[in-house]
Amino acid sequence: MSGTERYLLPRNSLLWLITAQGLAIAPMLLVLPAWLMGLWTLVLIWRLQEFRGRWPMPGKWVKTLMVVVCVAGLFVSFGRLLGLEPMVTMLICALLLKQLEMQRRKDALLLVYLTFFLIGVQFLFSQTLLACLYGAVCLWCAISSMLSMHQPTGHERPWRSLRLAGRLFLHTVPLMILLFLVMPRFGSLWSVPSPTQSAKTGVSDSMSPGDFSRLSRAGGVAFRVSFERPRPPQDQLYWRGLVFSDFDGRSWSQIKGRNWGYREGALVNWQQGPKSDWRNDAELLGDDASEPLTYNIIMEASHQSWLYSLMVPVEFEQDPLYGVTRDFTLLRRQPVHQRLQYEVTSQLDYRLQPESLSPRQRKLELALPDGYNPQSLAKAAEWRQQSDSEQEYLNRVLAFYRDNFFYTLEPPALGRDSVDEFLWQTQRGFCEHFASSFVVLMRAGGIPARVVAGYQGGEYNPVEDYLVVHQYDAHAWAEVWLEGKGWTRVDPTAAVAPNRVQSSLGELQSDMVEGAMSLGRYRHLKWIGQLRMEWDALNYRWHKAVINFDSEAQNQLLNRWLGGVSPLKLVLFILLAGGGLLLLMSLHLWWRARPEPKSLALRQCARFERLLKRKGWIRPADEPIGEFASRVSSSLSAKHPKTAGAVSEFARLFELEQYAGTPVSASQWRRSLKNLQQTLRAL
Amino acid sequence: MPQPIDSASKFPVFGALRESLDRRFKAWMLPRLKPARAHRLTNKRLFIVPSRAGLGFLAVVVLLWLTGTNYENNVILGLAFFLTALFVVSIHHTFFNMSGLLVEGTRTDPCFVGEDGEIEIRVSCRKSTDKESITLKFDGGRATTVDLLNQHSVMVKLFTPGEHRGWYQPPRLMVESFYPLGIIRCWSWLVLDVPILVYPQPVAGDIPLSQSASHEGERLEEAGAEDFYGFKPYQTGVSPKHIAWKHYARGQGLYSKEYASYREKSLWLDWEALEGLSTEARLSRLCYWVIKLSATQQPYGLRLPGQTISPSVGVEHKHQMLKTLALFRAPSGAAP
Repeated sequence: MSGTERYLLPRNSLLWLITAQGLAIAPMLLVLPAWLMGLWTLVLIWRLQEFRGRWPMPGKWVKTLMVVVCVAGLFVSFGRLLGLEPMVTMLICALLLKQLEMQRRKDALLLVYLTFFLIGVQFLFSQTLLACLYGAVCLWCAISSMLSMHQPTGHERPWRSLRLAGRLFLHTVPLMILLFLVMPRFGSLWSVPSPTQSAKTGVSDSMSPGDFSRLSRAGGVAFRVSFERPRPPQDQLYWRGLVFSDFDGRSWSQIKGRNWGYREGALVNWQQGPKSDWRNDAELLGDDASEPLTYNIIMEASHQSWLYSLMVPVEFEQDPLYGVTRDFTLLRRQPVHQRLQYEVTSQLDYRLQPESLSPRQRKLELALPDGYNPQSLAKAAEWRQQSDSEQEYLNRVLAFYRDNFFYTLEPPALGRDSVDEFLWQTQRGFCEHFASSFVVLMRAGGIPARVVAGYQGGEYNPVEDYLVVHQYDAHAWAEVWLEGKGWTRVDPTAAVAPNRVQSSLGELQSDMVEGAMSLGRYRHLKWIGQLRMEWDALNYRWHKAVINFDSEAQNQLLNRWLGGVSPLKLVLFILLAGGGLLLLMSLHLWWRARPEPKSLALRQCARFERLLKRKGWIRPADEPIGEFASRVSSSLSAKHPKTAGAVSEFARLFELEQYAGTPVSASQWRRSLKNLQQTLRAL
Repeated sequence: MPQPIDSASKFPVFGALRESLDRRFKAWMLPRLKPARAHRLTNKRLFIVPSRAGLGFLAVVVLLWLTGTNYENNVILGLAFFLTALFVVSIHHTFFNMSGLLVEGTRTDPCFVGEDGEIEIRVSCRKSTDKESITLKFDGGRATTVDLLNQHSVMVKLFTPGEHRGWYQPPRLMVESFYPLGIIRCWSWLVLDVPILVYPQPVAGDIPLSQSASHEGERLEEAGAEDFYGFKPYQTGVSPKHIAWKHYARGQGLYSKEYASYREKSLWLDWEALEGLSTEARLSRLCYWVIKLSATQQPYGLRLPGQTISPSVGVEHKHQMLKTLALFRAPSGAAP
């Protein structure tokens, strides 16, 4: 070890430091490699043993070995050093290893500072209300640790450090809120790596049998929506996310770019460019009853790039990152790694490409793979021939579904010709089975058709007036192209199980779709249902008010408060409001440190001395009151016995109160002093 | 405590800048220091600036702010603002931890020149609020840290070397605190008007006995005497027990130890017996013999020009002698 004298961190400081670090690291172990856990345990054991004097501090070789192991672990886990997760892992490694070579106060400080930073990094992964409260607890512990570095005797009362840090914390919060509200936001200064390792959630970019029933059990919220107008009826809430036109016999996927002719325009119209011509394909039937509907969506991180909207989004965020596809679904250039809020205006009453489809598109939307599902194709051809019109054929197929099929969350497994097996053998399925087989039947009957994946419905939260769409609301349905009507939504699931689109799965089968720990599972208990709504509403409010407080919201607020924003006004406001808050805090500190008021007896005594001082008797500082009084009264007793009596009476009262502990009332004091005053005047 | 010294050595430019600032600050401040027995720390006396740890703290804030801004993450920005606010709030807490403290010099213990004199200081506050981690340190001395937890006052002993004989005014006292978070430093310089009595430095030499009274306390050079007196070159015939073997081992030649005993009479230490030496050298030798003689039971007296202390024994007598020596033609410092 080095020859310099080692700084010993006070015990309570170490305690709070380790607590703060543990709390800050714990939630990140969910997204970071597992070997960090081992490293953490090792460091913790070593540190404690070292603190107890059992083990020495690790030597140079051990330390080098540990660094090598960490670097190797980083390469094995990530294969690169750039990116958010490797950098955070590196930060945590540094934090843990530094713990083992804490030699000086500077090292301890560095550890606390790293912990502060780590608490911040936590919020890159989650910004929910719960995560923030958790972060606040971490912060509290870290501040306690910093504070107890200056309390060498603090280990006698470790909770005291926590209490003092709590006071500091509470003094800080008002000023922090002020800064949060008024400090300008600059927006991203340079591009930064986003979390990438997290598992993707929600609807994926392809659909095979079984995908959606799995998704229905994933739990959690997909997004929350608030409407500017009364929301549309439940069975109209089809949140479109992806359109699948490509079928390989088993799974559905989006159109490949190469199958799309460039002559027909770009596949995606980004907001940074001009509006593509094809966006006029949607013929909006805007009569008075169906004004476009504006709504605001707060989407949970899905780590995928598609966004959800109701049919035919007309307007959406003016951000170059947003775009709309040919199929009128919304898209974002970067995957949604954090909660995202966006606003969309949709036309619910529309006709999409009603005149004709381009030959290329028609061919795509009719394509079926060769050699799959022969039975279905034959049946479809037979039914189509028996029908006079496309509409009649469609109705016949829907009636077939209505009469023969069951809706179930646990469908039987399907083999190679999945549609054949489903339609003619098992006949029990989930939305994706219905949608997929329906589109196959339509295409086989010569009607262009496609599968749409997204969510259906949602749960209304009356506390804050918004709609929560859960993962179990994931849904797939069909769109068919009919001459003159354009693309029309048809939901075969609704034909089989009409109540699925009228109320959510969570309400129908909460024990199937909610985990045992989830409140939603017990929502039929009234108070739990209420609690669940309130908690979700709180989270929603948190997101709208805090997470999404951007420069626009800030400007609105400051305009309301200050009536216009100018740098001068802003600076004055910060100085005045901040000064006011600091003044209040200082008053609190001053109030706690103010001198104790003198007791009643001491105040009376001071008056007593003043009275006698006027007549020339002065009490030296070291003379007790009793002696002083007897000195005065003995010199008076010969000529003025009354005055002498009054003086000794006061002294008796004083001694009674001060030394015998007998309480003397204010009126007794007053009487005694008044008596003395009168007799002195007579002198 | 962050030591400014290492940064100065690492960055010579900053070091020079810091030194120059320090010099200017002291030049501005020193004339404003009025000596007093007790000082109450008020906002006029207290200085407050971020410490080095505080600058590091601000660096963390900037880093968090950059992260929050780049990720457009309001919660991280909130954390950055929280730490900024914590910094500001900490200034107030540090200040209130120090303000209202009363620092009083209560008692001093005398010392010899070059040794540490002890000063007892009482730190107190009006109310038993907690004042924590207050460091007291004489300029160039060792730091002592005190806490006032649920108590009105605390006594602390500080040491400072007595630099010259007589009444010695201790150097400036620094009262400093980094509490609560170490990111803010609040301090004050005080001059405590509690002089230390500094005795002359004892220097061994021949005993300066009064010529006129030499018959009274004549030294008897005789075998079998008990008190060690000195060395003299070896002469054959001296008992081997008296040979200074240590000197011989060091190769300094052969000496024998001389022992002496005195007549049981009062001895007079005399200024005049040290003719040819400077004032300080004379006082040093007198001081040495005062200490020596006070360890025996022999009465001894002192003759200085214009002052005479009659022979006596005991601790009181010793202190009176030493005080007289300390203040004899004292270079500076008035008696308190």
